[in-house]
Amino acid sequence: MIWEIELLYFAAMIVTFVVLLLVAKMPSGLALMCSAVVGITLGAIFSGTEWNLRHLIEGSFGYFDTILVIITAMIFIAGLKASGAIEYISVFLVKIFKKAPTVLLLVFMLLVMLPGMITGSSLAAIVSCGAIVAPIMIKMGIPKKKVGAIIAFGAVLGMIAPPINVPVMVICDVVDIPYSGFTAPLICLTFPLAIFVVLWLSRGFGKEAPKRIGMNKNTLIENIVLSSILLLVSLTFLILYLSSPKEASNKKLLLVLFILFTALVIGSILAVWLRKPYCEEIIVEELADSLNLEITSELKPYVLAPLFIIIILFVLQSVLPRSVGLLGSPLLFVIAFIPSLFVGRKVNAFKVVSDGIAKSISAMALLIGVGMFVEALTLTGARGYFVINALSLPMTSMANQWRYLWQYISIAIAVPIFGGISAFGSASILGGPFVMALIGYNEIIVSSALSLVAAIGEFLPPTAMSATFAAKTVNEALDVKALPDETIKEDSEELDIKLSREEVSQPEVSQPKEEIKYIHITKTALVPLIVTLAYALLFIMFVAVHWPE
Amino acid sequence: MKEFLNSKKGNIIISCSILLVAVIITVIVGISYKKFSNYQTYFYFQEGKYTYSYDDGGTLREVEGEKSVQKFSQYSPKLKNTVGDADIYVIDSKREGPSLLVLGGTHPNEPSGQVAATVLLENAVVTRGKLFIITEANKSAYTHSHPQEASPYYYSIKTKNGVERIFKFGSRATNTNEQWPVPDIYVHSSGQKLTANDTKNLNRAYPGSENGTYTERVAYAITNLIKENDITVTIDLHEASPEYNNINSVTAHQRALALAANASLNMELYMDIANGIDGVGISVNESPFTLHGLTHRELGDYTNTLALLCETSNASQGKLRGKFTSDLIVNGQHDKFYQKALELQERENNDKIVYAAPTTLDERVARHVLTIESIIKGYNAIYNTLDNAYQSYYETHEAKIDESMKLEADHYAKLGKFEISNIPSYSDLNNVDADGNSLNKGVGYFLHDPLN
Repeated sequence: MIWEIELLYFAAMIVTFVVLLLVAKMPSGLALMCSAVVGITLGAIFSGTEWNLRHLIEGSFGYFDTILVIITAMIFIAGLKASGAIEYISVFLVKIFKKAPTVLLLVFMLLVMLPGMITGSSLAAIVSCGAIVAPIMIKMGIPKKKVGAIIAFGAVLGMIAPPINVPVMVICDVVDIPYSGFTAPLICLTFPLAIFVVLWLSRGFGKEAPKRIGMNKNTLIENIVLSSILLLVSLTFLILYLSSPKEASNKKLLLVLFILFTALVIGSILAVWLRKPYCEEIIVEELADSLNLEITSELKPYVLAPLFIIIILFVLQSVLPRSVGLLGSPLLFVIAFIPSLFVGRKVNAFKVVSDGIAKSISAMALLIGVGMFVEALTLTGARGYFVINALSLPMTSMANQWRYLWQYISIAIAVPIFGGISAFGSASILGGPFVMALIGYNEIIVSSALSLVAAIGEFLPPTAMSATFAAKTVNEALDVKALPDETIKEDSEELDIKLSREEVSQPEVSQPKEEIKYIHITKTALVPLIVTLAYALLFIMFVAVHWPE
Repeated sequence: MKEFLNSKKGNIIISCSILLVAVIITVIVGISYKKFSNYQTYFYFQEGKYTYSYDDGGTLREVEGEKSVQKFSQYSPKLKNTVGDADIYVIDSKREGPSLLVLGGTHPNEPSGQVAATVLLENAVVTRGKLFIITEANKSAYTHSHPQEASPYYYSIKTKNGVERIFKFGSRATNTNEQWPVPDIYVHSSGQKLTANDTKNLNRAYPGSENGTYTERVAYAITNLIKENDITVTIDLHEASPEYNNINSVTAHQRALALAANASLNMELYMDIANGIDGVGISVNESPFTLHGLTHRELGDYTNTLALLCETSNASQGKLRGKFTSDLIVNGQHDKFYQKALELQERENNDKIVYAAPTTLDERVARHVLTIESIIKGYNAIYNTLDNAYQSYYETHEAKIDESMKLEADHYAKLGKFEISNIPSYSDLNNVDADGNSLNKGVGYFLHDPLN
């Protein structure tokens, strides 16, 4: 079944994409659109499918709502920047956590996860909270590609963490199970990983280790405290396991969870002790050239009002889904944006909105491109080719007793690869059939773990959605400082020139100015990605068998 | 060239040409979308009186029945003057008896439901009881295609005179024009959480609400129709992908379980030796108590109707399907990847990928129509006597018969039997026999020529 004409369509589309991207230097969104046209045309010639322009539009409409969320979230963030709120919160957090930078990073991870948890969208997490924390991390001395990897991972884990996990909901829809009982498994899947990922990525080892930093008293205390807390979590499970009666139904489950968590805890502790932190203590004064340290006294705390409003609105949305929920996330962002015009520095609304839209254009183009690409795959049958090969791999294996192993292997290969085109698509197209194929396993655990495996695709080509956006965010992270007042009065025509001039004359921070691409982020995140894949598969293999119905 | 591309002028020219291309594509696609969106599918139905005679204890009596069209807005007023104000075709024998609602077109990407309802609409003769038929339950979903599913706009079936009857293949969900924005998560009135997309899925919106979302208003119209007319049996026609494990099946509300079991037995016993058909297999499932918003759960819970839902195996809906053309809708059995999956399954003889081989639209329609006929037969067998009605209640409830059950069973027994005739048979509708040889008739044979 490997050699089918659909493979040709898929290969031709990928080749078109890569050539346009690398040789013609086209933006990835536009390259995807062109490869979709190639796919649709080839299908029409060799398979007799319909050649109709409507497929381009219909494909992109799959992301209509996501695109609106991104534009409005970008405008919201531009508002926060212009009003001084981002600088305010940066200075505020840095001052609080200056002695405990690693704890600050854990707080950042949670912050990045939060929008993903509430909206179910990793992109919303990156463009909102990711954009807030990235500049501070860069100023802490963490290399940009690592910062990108941290926020991309935070966003992806936030997307998987409860209460809202869209890939799981998509699987539920396919296999007809209600979306309930997912909170505990999803917490077990995401939070231990989040801690490990941050500790691993925010530190250096070997060649890339920070040079001038040794191990001072401050770091030592932080390391000891962190390690003990982690050990405590693992010990709790051990105690629970030992204290539960022999015949208890969840005895084996506790043991499995203890082993899994302990493996991650050991990984985290190794990261803490063997890898060196980039920052032992944040010396606030050193940040004066890029952050206005007086801002906390210059502006009133209510400059943060828009931030609180958006949190309240999103909480209301999940508490009152049948009233506030019907407003839709884009409108919530717009509502929360309005106060930022009045609470801080003087803001030019037109400039801020056009700035937000300009920054989301490449994101929109990428999503539109992905939509067209998926539509072309579906129309030509390349999607079916993918699914049948993924599902039949375990069946064609020679020995029957190895069948389950093949099942895991095909999950580990096919689900992330298709996730590289679209994580939601992978969950619905492959996730559903795999849940049905793994008869006898707890459907809730399998769906949860599969959603995590699909989300790994957010780091993989051709679209590498989260990694691409994280790269964009860190590349743009350095202009946190609000634009000086005089630029506000500029009229729109001069605006573009002004903006480009600013980019050129951006202040040189301790790091050389380098353009981060998604591939740098994916490479940096390789170890955590492998750990994530292994963790999710172990969940399917062991936890799904013992989890109570 | 490179210099030109990087210059301001070059930049503007490139941007403008991309914009121009985008505008041209949008206009062309917009026109074709508008045409599709406004296209009205033709259903043959002549309102007015019809006469029939029946044997009333030895004397032949002539009675006048009536065919009429009602609108959803009669039952859910807020749908008035909107796209979703669909037709409800009523064939009333004017003789007291039970009533049946056949629900087609809930999901426009599941065509056999709509076509089976159409076959029934254009052929059935009702001589006792009342027949309600809906061919486009979610009419708004017929005005657009589902993003990223790459479905054709239309497919056609040839009538016996060789004229094409055109049907639309729409989306699973209500059109964004009618319902937008959608929340990040859909919370059904029971508190159950589902994906945002299901906000626009009619078969997750029951029992519906008069002032709710557009889809809930449509669901409310159907629930209210059942309540106001005290409809005895409701059959919701669907299709599913061949890899879906609950397929070629009837899912029944617990009160309708005995009826479903009886219908399935009728189908197993269906025989047409001339065409090599010996039984049409169908499985029976009880509606899960935990899954809300679906007809077989909510209509059974919120109304007195006996709610059942049927599924057939539709390749054009499946994830494994190969190229998507309108031929796939009508001839699903030809799909390359499903054939391979079935071959592999047979050779390896282990886990299933495909639970029911995809079949032709004719077979799927034939199966639905046979199911409807079998349910009618089953109803007539079970509910015609008080004792049988008690018995079926006893079996499905695994409990003692209480007073309310007695009252309800009494009610069914008083209504008596359905008398609905002229329903095309399975072997007439399914024009390909077990060996793939073409037979004479087929679904098209039972469809009227379009008017023009």
